[in-house]
Amino acid sequence: MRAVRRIYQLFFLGLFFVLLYVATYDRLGGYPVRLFLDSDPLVAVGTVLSTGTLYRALWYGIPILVLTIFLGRFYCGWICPLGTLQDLVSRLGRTTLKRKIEINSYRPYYKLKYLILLAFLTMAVLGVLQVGLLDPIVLLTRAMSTSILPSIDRGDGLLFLSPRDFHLGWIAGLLLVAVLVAAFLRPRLWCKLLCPLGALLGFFSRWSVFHIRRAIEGCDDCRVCVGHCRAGAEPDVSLRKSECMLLFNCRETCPTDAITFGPDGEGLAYVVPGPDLSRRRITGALLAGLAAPLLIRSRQPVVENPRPYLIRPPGSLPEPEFLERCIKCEACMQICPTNVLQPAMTEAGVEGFWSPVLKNTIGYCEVNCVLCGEVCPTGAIQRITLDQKQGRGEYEGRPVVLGTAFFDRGRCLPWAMNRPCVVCQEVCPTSPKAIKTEEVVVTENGRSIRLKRPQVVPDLCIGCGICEYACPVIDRRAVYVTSVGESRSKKNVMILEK
Amino acid sequence: MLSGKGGAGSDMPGKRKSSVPLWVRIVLVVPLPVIALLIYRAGQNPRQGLFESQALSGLEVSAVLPVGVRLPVYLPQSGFRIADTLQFYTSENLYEKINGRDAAFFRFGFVSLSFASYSGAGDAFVDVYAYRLNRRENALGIYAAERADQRENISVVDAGYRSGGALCFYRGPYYVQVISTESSASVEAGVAEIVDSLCRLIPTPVGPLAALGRFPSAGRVENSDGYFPDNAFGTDFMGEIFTTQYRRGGATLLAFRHQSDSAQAMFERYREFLGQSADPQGTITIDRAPVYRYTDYGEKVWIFVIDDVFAGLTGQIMKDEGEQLIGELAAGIRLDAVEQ
Amino acid sequence: MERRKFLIQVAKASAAALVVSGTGIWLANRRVEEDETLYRIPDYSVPRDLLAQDFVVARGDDPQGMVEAAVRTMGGIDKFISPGDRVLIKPNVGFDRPPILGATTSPGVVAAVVRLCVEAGAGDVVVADNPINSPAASFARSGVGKAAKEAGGRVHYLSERDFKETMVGGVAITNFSAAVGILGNVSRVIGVPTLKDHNLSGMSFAMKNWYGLLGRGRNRFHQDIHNVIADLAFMLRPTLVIGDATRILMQNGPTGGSPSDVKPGGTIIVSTDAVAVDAFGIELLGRTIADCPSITLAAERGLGSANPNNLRFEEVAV
Repeated sequence: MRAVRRIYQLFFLGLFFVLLYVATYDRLGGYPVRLFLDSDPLVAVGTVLSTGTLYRALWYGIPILVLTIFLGRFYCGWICPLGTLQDLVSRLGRTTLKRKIEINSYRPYYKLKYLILLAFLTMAVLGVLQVGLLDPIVLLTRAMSTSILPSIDRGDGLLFLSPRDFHLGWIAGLLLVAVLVAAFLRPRLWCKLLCPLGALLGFFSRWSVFHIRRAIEGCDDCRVCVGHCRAGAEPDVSLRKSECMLLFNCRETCPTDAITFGPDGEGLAYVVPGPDLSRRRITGALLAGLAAPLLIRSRQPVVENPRPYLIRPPGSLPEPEFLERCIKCEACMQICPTNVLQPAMTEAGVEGFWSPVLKNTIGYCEVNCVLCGEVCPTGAIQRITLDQKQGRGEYEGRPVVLGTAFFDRGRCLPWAMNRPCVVCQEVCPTSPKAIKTEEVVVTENGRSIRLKRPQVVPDLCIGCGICEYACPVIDRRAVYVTSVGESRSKKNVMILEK
Repeated sequence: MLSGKGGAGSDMPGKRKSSVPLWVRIVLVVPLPVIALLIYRAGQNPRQGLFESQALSGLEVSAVLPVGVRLPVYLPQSGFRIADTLQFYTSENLYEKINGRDAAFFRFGFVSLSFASYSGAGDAFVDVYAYRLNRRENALGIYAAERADQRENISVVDAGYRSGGALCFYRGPYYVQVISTESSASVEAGVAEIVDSLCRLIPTPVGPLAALGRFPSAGRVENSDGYFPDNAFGTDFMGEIFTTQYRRGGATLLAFRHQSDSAQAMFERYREFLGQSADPQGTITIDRAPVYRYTDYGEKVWIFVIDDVFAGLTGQIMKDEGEQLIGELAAGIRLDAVEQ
Repeated sequence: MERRKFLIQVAKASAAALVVSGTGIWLANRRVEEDETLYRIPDYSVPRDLLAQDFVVARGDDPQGMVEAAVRTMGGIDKFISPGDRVLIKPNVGFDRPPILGATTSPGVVAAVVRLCVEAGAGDVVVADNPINSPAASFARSGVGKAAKEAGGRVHYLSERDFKETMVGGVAITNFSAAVGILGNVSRVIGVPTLKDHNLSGMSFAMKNWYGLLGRGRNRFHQDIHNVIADLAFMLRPTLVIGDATRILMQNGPTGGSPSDVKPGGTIIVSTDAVAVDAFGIELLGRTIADCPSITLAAERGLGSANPNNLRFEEVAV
């Protein structure tokens, strides 16, 4: 069975990377790039608690949970790509059996992941969704999208058509590296100690009907099984079902064939169903989960002080709802064809750390594109049609507006320096243009210069940012977009409109 | 069996007596390639409407444009996509797109222009102009009027050529120009796919224009047909004239033909016109038809009329070749008359 | 025995699986209802034919006497307020200014109106406004708070909870946040504006007084101020308007800042027609209707009369 498990692991790891590779606009085709995130039960449970709905394809997590209820944590051992990566890293170290037994033994502080899970779920109930910080699939997707893949891209068009740049993306990559370094020191340390998804699946494993079992008669207490149990499930004593990841190392290495897989029966060692958490610890986790929203939410979200640089992708829900759903997986940044979506550092506050914002100095929102909503697994960015985004057809006159452009007349070439320009108007995609010009004739050194001086038409501006992107005053653009006027917010409004 | 109890360095796996049956292992592994296949198949079915240009819908096309071709937004094989928007022009705003050339198009019964600029990987662009004229003859006419002398003929219905970065052809009532900025392999693929798509989109009757088939074939220069709806040969009364070139005896001759009930009248007027503006060279009779010959500033013009067909030759006409060709033209006309 | 234990385990697992699946199915793409009710402001007006006059101007120097005389000439307070009625008195307490600066309604006039309503037997007389500055400070410094309480009314400080999205249906405003928390609770509304110069709209008087019933986002109105003011007249049909022109802020309005901006006016204007009150007021400011375009706009929309002389007009001296 171990061989089969390894095949599964390599298959799903390969699948994960394939889906990540095709998650660009020119390779997307019809590939189900959201597959791993959609089937992640922690994402499903987290968003159910914070929003009260199960968005779109997140129901894929339900079969995973159901299978876990019957079989245990097969996901951790057979499917999870972060788990596979850790296993591959662990193989790099060779050590004695005695040392292995010591490293792989269960530790009481492995209960921490359950407390972390509890804290996260409590936060989620109060509308603060942070499961994405430590969820393995989200963590891996985020690290690959904004750190690893852009770093290894040599700019030859193999990975990405044009080089990708993610502001402070290395932080996400560092987290992944830390997980793998930990795995090198102690196999699957992340999974055992911190992984909230593992904790969730571990909790549901308490009812598992089929599990690893040890024949009391046949076992001679050699502890070889423990030496190979990377999950720390203690198969030599009483198997901890909540820790067992169905790696089957124990079964394959047991010298007396005392370990098998199946339902409970006669002559089999007792099996521990779930993590035994003390009431004190549970209370502590609950309080920690309650404290976070109270601390974070001391600033009222978007009342009359909207954040000007919090420009969200098209199709985003209003900010409070957005924060209830965004798991910071950064799949939107992976697929965004213009690289304009960047992980927020301070633009969205503490809650919105790593959530997507537009930085129009790096890219712009392509008016003919709705890919981000297509790949968002939780609906923080809703799936919209091109008609909705551009305000055509039944949505005539109501396009999606991301913000409004403003001119810095002290830097704009025609305004400040009597030099002709208006690149901004040239690239403005709306019709009629959201940038109008007034023609003036100025005299300089006896010469007459005919200038077009640009001005924003706020009723028409959709905040796509291509003007900012194209502005030649590249160190600090003379035209820039801020969030006011965004169509997703009823309050962040500047213009009196009927 | 190895006990391995606390033994240093010995962690060799034991031999299992009872193994998992092979069929179980196969059953477990089989779903994996199935999943891979399903995902691959899903990948070949791209979801539309995620990353597209502002192509007008069919309804909008017919609202903007009573008659025209809707250029494809995406060319799947070569990967080219419309870069900006699909543009339509009618006679009211054609000037905005092609400036002074619009006068020529109006002469040839211009109805509409569909324009799109395609881009693929890199900086290459392929611009496509699909002009819709009011009749197939007029498409031939503008095609011939713009045809480059230095060209490489291509096999496309109705007729086409490449010259420099331009590929031009006419098909049915459409005249199409495909202009590319470079000639790399990927751009060529895009151009080829555009031509294919347009040939699918533009219906054309089987066979060439009837009048073109009436010209004799010997010595006929390939892809040299032309048409003038009006104001042919510097006159204001000659129109609906089909032309084609011949190479006979080292010289290039232009044969023309007009068939209608007013052929006689047109012939008479042209004879009068040439009588005043050119030097008459006398009349000969070929196949019972009087052929009037003129020299017009170094060019020779031979004209004749039989029933409702007015035809002739211009160019450096040598005696034998000219008589030969006129004879073939006349014979053709007589044969048509008999068949009818 | 083993089989029974096994079956029990299977049953437990199946139950858990069912709960998980059931929850998933129930919640799959469940729509969470949003509160999207649009409120409507009721019509508080009384029938004209019950009244003796449409438009009364009282001249004098005693606010109490002038208000009483004017309302009596209109037909008496009982034509407007019935016993048990819940009444909203809407003065202009828009700014944290003392009365001497003329930016807010005189406390004496507010007290007189409150007293009149209390004497008519009103069940609840509530005085409220949504100022630019803080409500507590504005009501205190303007003296209106104390005066209202001493006259037998109560002051309500509007809070976020009182405001809901309301249908206005105007030319410049479609829907807006309005104080339906109290508007929905009263059956009579009496506007008690004070006559002021206004740097943008030309004048602030009867129609503009309803501004104070709207919530967040009013700072956008300046982009189309005249149509907005006319929309306010469309939005709210009051029971009565009692305009305070006992002293007039002649310049540097609407906030004023110096006592020299304020001149004595010695006039109280009472009418059911807010447009006519404004038309009379602009002349007291020494200007014409052209200087306050909202009057013409409202009149053209049929919201009132731009010429008070066309109404049943009476002037009394007190």
